[in-house]
Amino acid sequence: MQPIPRTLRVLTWVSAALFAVALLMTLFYAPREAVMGDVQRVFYFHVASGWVGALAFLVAAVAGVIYLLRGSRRWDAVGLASVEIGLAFTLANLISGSVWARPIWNTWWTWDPRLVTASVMELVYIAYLLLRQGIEDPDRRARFGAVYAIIGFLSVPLTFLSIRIFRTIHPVVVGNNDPTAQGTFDMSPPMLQTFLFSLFVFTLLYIVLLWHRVRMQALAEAVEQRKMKLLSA
Amino acid sequence: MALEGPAQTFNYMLLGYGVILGCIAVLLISMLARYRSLQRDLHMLDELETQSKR
Repeated sequence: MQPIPRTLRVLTWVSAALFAVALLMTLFYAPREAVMGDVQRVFYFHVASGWVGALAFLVAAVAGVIYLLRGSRRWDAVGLASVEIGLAFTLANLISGSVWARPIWNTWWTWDPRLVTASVMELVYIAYLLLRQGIEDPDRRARFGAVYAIIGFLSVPLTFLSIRIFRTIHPVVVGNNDPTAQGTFDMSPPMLQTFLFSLFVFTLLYIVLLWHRVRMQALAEAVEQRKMKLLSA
Repeated sequence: MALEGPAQTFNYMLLGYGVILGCIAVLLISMLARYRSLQRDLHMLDELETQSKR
């Protein structure tokens, strides 16, 4: 196993430090929202988590396309790593949204188009991991993963657009709100700065995690090959 | 009746942050545990290979 590259080592520490700064900004720099109070602060990491989830699934779909074109297993590793990270961040997005909804909508869950499409998206990618495990042949597994990641990506734009094309109570951050949306607010400059900084930090964190996870997958494949070699000897 | 200041939602904020940080922590711990397990496997394979050469 190659030692951790210097760039990755530096990026890991930088992303950890920036994450701490972002956390402090959401708690102390961004003002308390006038109506919702402190729970509105969850918004910064809630949206950033959703963004990372969507980005991760996009990367998995792109990796799937490249795998199908080139057949290099490295792209299968990128797809798998990205889906795994995307699942964790989408789960954080879903549950934190539910926590925000409790005092604002007076319920943990409602059958709103955004909540439903986001949950379906999460389930689609959980199925990706489960179904992959059922295929033993690595090439077949990689081909299946690539095709699934491309088709599964349809759930991402559907989730993004759900609050723009369906009647919803979920607030819209970019664009016009549905008149029935509950929990909307106007962002002051410190709020906007905190929001954009959080998006940047989460994106950097995603890149760092993806790099580490892809390296780990390379190690897993090396271990597997060594085992096969030892068994056949 | 007019609202007297923002709603008291501090506890929900703590819960929200706990959930997000918890999900990220679980991902990190899971990656670290799997990485260590793979390193152990690699060392074990090294030892087995050395033994088989003898």
